[in-house]
Amino acid sequence: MHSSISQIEFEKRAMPIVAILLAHQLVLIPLYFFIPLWIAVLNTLVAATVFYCARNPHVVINRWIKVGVTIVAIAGVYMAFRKFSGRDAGVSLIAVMYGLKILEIQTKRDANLVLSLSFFLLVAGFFFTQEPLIAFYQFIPVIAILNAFVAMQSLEKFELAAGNLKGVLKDLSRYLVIAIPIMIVLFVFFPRLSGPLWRMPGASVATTGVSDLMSLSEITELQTSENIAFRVTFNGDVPNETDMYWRVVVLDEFDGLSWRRTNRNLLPDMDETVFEGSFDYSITLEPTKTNYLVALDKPISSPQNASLVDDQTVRSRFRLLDRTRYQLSSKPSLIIDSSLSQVQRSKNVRIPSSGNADSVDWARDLRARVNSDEEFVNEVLRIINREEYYYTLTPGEMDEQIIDSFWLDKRRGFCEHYASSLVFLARAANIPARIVIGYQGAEKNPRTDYWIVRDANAHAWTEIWFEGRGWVRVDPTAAIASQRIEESLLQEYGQRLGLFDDFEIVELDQVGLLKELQYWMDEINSGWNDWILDYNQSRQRQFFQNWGISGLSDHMLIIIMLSIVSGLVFISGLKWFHGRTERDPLAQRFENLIQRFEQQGILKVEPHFGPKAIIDKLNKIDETRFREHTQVLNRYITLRYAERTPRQEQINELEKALTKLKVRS
Amino acid sequence: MNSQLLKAVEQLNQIILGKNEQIKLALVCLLAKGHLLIEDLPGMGKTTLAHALAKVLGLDFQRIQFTSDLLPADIIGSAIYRRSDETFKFHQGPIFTQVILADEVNRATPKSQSALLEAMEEYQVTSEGVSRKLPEPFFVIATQNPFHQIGTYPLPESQLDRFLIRISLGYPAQEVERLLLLGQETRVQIDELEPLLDATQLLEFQAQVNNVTTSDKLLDYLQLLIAATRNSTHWSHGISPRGGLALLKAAKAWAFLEGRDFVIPEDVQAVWQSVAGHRLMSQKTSAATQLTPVDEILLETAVPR
Repeated sequence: MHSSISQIEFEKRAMPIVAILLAHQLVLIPLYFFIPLWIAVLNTLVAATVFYCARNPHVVINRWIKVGVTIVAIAGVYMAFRKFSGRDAGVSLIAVMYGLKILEIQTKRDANLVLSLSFFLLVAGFFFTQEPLIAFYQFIPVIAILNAFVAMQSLEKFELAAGNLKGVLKDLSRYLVIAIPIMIVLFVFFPRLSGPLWRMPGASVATTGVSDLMSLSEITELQTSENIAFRVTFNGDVPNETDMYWRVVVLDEFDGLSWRRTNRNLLPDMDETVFEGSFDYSITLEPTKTNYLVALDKPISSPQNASLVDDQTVRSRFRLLDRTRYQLSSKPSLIIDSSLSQVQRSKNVRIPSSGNADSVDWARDLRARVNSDEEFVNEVLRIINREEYYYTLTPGEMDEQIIDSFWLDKRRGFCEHYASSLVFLARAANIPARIVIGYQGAEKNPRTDYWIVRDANAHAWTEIWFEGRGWVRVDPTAAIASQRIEESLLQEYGQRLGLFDDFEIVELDQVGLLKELQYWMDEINSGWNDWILDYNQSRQRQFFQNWGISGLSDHMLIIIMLSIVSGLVFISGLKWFHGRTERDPLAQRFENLIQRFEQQGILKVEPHFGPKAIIDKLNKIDETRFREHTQVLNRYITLRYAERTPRQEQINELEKALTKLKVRS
Repeated sequence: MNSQLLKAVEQLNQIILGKNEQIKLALVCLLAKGHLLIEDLPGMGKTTLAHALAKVLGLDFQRIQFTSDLLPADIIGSAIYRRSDETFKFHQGPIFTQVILADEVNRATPKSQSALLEAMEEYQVTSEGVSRKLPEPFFVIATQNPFHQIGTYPLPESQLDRFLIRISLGYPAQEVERLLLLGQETRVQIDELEPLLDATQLLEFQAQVNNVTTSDKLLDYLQLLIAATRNSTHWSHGISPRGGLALLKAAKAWAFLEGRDFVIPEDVQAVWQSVAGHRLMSQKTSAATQLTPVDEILLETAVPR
């Protein structure tokens, strides 16, 4: 009994508690951003207590205190979430338990358990975010965990001194170097399921982008967000930036307050003949939780699991819950609906029978004065340009008679006000018109070949139907005179200025350092999304197809994966591999010198030749020629055999000297 | 090389011609406080070597011819009754000297042999229940005739282990033999030798040998060699820990003789055959390479870089 207690005491004393605590806390840190603050405080206190107890061996925490703290902590988690299931509550519970587990470290077995658990905890962070940053951060705890494992096996006391750190990192990165190829192979080859296996519950993020309902009365202020909506890569020709109108939804029904989308018929893809002069591109769309796909004005083909709609938008068969990548073709010059059926026509001129009466009168009056529908639209645009119409992101509240209030009174608004007014006025004048919602413009990441479209690029414009010309895109916002665009907008949202005809497009070559950094980050993010997070079945197949391998079954993938991994494990287990990595640099340099002697045919060095024997042989060949070699080799002898503990500088100097020695005559 | 020892080696070389290696090994053995075993036929110059060594180093010298009827008392000495004061007085035997040549040690009975071996190990002798210290330094040179073994008691391996170094002088080279034939009588030469050292200086040297540095790398090499003998199929047993210590001691002494205060692998290699040879039994020479298994181990073991 006594001996077993002293065994525990002995093990405790030899425990590298600092290394373990370091790994333990580094693992927890990323979780603290997502779970209640008190857990972070509790865990830090616990760690500090453990550290104090390790320094003061006579302080022992009572078992009942541990039990009490645990119960309270678990109760705390329940109080916070009212459940233990679900992502947030589950991870919080694990974090608490793991944080308290450190109190239990008595023997090496306990420490092993905690450190092994740490690897599992590392993954928990990915439940919340899958940013590349956190993935790169996780290398730090991994190194710390490995370090703790190594420290537990070593006889010497763990000291985290600056001088030591370099050596520790060097040793540990060796393990990582062995592990990383295995990690990559497992990642590349592990068979992917065709759909998501499961979805993280409780991860409801507010949707971004456009909605299929536009209600002007509710919007008093437009938040422009720099979030990325989608990224575009063109295959071949790139359209002019001012022509980059990205369609998402067409709204054609107005009830006096808001615009809605009506049910539409699906269209088959266009036949080959219209493809002449079209743009091919692929879009990586961030999750929108809707069915709408983004397409350049006007799409003529549809990707898989999606189809064209007769208002020239593209709809997916599924809601877009994940980042989606698809291929499309668009042809801006396509004429659509050159003739309109009576039903269609009446649908697109319908306005509520009452309300906004002044605007209706205004429109009818104007139509009576001009000769054609085209002239009517041009006149409206001219009015927007000439008269006191302002572009602002903070238009303030409108009256109930929205169009009257905006068009005739306030005259301040953003794209949605202008678009809905123009459509309303056109309809009042019996001209078919509708609103298109989507994005305008794009920003090229100069570091790569893709274009970025952000939420701030969201836009609304109109389509007016003219006899013979079909639906024609008219962007009333673009007609606003440049001096009437809010000044803050000019400074902060330079991006939106592409909307206006009066402005030149921002030159993207002249980007500041910050912008450069942003592009750089976006490039990493995009690559991360494309190749790490979205490495799904089709990506995997595409990857193998690039290598000329196609039609690999899952079984084959598993077999290939296992053989490569076991091959790697075998190689890393080979003696020569270890011999090579564990040899100290001085010996390596010496060996290199010997090899050079042998390559030059000067000397055959048998394994049993000591350095002195080599000197003697060299001197026998030519004393003067090898004088320098003799000197350096003598220094090697001194360092290796005369010094019990040679200083590191001496070793470094000799390493250099050995490398510099010329062997060729 | 240590200048005084260098002179000693030169002097000895003039008397025992063409045996530089053996002379150095004999000196190493002395410096390492070990004892020397010479396995050779009679008339090869064993006595000359021992005698000259003693003379050059300024040490006392005795010779015991071992025969089958030699008794321990003949080596150690005995108490003899003195009538004048009616007491027993101990008369020191020939072993009470600094250099002793035990000639043909395998001719004596094990009992007599063990008397010598005890002295070698303990640096003291016991007679009539009284232990007596032997003089310092104490250096035994034993010779053994390995070829005429009939009616002898060859030293078992366990006893051979007590000798730090075993050498054999062998026939001289042709031109050396001619010089030998032309030269003076060796006894006269030895008498003419001037001592270059004295006992205190030798003791000082022995102390310095002890302080010779052995680095980790060197010990690595030493252990590799020892391990190789233990793993080899040539012998049922490898070198004992005492053998390992002997090897280290001899290598240190060799390094000291070379004038260094640290051991390099070449020092170990220089003493390897003479330290390990008699500690490992089978000494069959490979027909192809003319190498003994002991030599082979040296060639096969890589020096750690």
